[in-house]
Amino acid sequence: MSESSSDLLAVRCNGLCKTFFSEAENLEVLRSLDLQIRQGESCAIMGASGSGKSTLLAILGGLERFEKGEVYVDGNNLGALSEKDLPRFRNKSVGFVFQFHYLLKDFTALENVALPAYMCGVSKKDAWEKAGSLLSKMGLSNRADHYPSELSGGERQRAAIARALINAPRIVLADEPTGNLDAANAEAVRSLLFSLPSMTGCSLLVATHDAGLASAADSVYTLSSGRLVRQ
Amino acid sequence: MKGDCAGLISSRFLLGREPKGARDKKHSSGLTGAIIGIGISLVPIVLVLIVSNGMIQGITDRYMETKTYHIQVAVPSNLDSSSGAEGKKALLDVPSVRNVVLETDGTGIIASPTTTKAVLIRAIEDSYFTDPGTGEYLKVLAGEPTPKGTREIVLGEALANELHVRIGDSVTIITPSAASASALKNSDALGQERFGSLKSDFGLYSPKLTILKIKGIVSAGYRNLDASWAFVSPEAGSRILASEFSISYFGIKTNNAYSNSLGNTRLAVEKALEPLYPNWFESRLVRTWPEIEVNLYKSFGTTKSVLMLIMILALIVAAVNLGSALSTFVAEHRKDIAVLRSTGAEDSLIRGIFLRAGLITGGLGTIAGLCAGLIVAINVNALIMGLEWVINFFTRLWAAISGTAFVSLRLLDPSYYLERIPIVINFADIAILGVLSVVLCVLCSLVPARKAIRVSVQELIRKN
Repeated sequence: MSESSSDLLAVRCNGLCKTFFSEAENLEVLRSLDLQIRQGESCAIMGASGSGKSTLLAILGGLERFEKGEVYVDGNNLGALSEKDLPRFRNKSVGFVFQFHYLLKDFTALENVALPAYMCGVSKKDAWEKAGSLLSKMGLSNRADHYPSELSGGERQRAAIARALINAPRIVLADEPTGNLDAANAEAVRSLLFSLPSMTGCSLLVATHDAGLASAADSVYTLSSGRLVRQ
Repeated sequence: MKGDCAGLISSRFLLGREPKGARDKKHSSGLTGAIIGIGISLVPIVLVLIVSNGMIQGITDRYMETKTYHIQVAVPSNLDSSSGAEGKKALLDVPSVRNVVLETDGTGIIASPTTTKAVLIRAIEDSYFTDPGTGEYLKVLAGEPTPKGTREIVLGEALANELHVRIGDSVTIITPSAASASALKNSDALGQERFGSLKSDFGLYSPKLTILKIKGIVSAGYRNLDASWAFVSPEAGSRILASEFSISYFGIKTNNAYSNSLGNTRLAVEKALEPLYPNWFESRLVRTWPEIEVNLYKSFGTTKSVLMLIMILALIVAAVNLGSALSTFVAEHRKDIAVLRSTGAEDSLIRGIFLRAGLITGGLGTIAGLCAGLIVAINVNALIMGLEWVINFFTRLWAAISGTAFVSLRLLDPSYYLERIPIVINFADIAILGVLSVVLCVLCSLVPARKAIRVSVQELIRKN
């Protein structure tokens, strides 16, 4: 399952292939894709809509299966993980930040952040304390007891980032994290996201159209015709 | 811990905590309907349960206290009075026995100037009428309850009505004569085969006619009893009822009729009588009240079971409706499920959330239904009276407007039912019903819970 040579790598993909099969056509999205992201490295992937950026993130996050190749994330061979193992992998090893915040509307910001820890067995007290601490780091300590509908767009996205970090994942996967934000909030989220590797030691993989956002990453790739090209 | 997490998420999904004005109420309406559905389906079940228990107990009490006694001991019809007195004395010494009556019963035909009816003639001692149990259920509607001498008779209310007779009127009792009795002796009567020989010779039959004056009219409040019996004194009984055509028995009232210890009393009765009557006494001649009217009580039980089964079908429909509402609930929370799965929620957690939702909604519906059912059942007599009043008010109004005759309606006609429904609440039954309801709701939540674990996180990614 784990691979000692990959210990310093948060992500390693070799020859990754992904095809969407349908009656009309088979769409080959990723073609023998190779990628390595070191621990603590930030990485941006750019590409046209439909180029497969989100699919790549979904595969790395254990949300999508693939046909060929090897994918190691946090030492886990995703191709070998069973359906039963995947939730634990998602809970412990990766954190997701989506374009839309996807906070649960019936829970406060604090509860939204705490839930991933609480659901994996952390005591309620510890999970809530940890969530409070993370929200403070995100500058949301005074908004902890507010519901998503009471938060601004930027605040919601920062709460979503805090949720992604609650279980101290090896890698944070962010899919167009500023796509729904105005310029000021987008800048705040950008600086927050790219401070994560130094703040928590995690790696960061951002999929975006925004060249400005991508420029903050340690390495930038373009996904085209199913393959990554380093900028 | 995961259970707590599922419970927290489930309760929030169901009840919500969003601030006022921001909440989308749409998702809860289906489940509110399901809760109401469960509640409404339980009300008639509770009502039927309590009312049927009450009716059965009411009728059973009337049978026990006015007809069958708690224990009967069959004795020879020709038992002499000193032997009878000895037996009564011995029985009264048995612990838990509160009264003993020596009764002789026989069938005959009763005729009034207008009609004739078959009747059970009960030759009975005064102690029957002074027993507190009899007094509770046998009401004197006219005259006196105790027939004296050889020319008086007391009739049940329904029988008197059918014969169109009143106090002071005379009726004729037609019974098989003693001379021809051996020809018609009924060998099926319990114990009769021990007390005489049977020689079938129908050519010898001749009826005996006895004219009696009506001394009183009584009612046990249950038509089946009131329509079939007439009381005479033991002296009249010995004249009217031929020993070969009648059965005699000690009717025993106890203090433990509904207790399991009735069996011990029965054994004590056997022990008390065996040495007194070594020539003919056998333990099979002693029967407790459930054995005496075994078919009646079986039919009560069967009727109640069938009614409950029909009512439970309604509960199953309500539980299936809850399952359907939960499926909608799952569909409304697909995005939330996908979010939870993206953060690592396992199938067991997702399943637990929606099973708990079924448990909570089913539980709420069950509690509401049981409470409403108990309130309705406890007040069922007042509700029936109120309903009668309303119907009669509008019927009277219509009669006044249309000029037609007003006919008063009685929903619980005492001719066929008890006049007042006794309320007997068996909390064990209610608890079993509650558990059954909740279990059905949880079972019906399994399908939506299964649908929930099939929600894919990819939906979230693609909609992103």
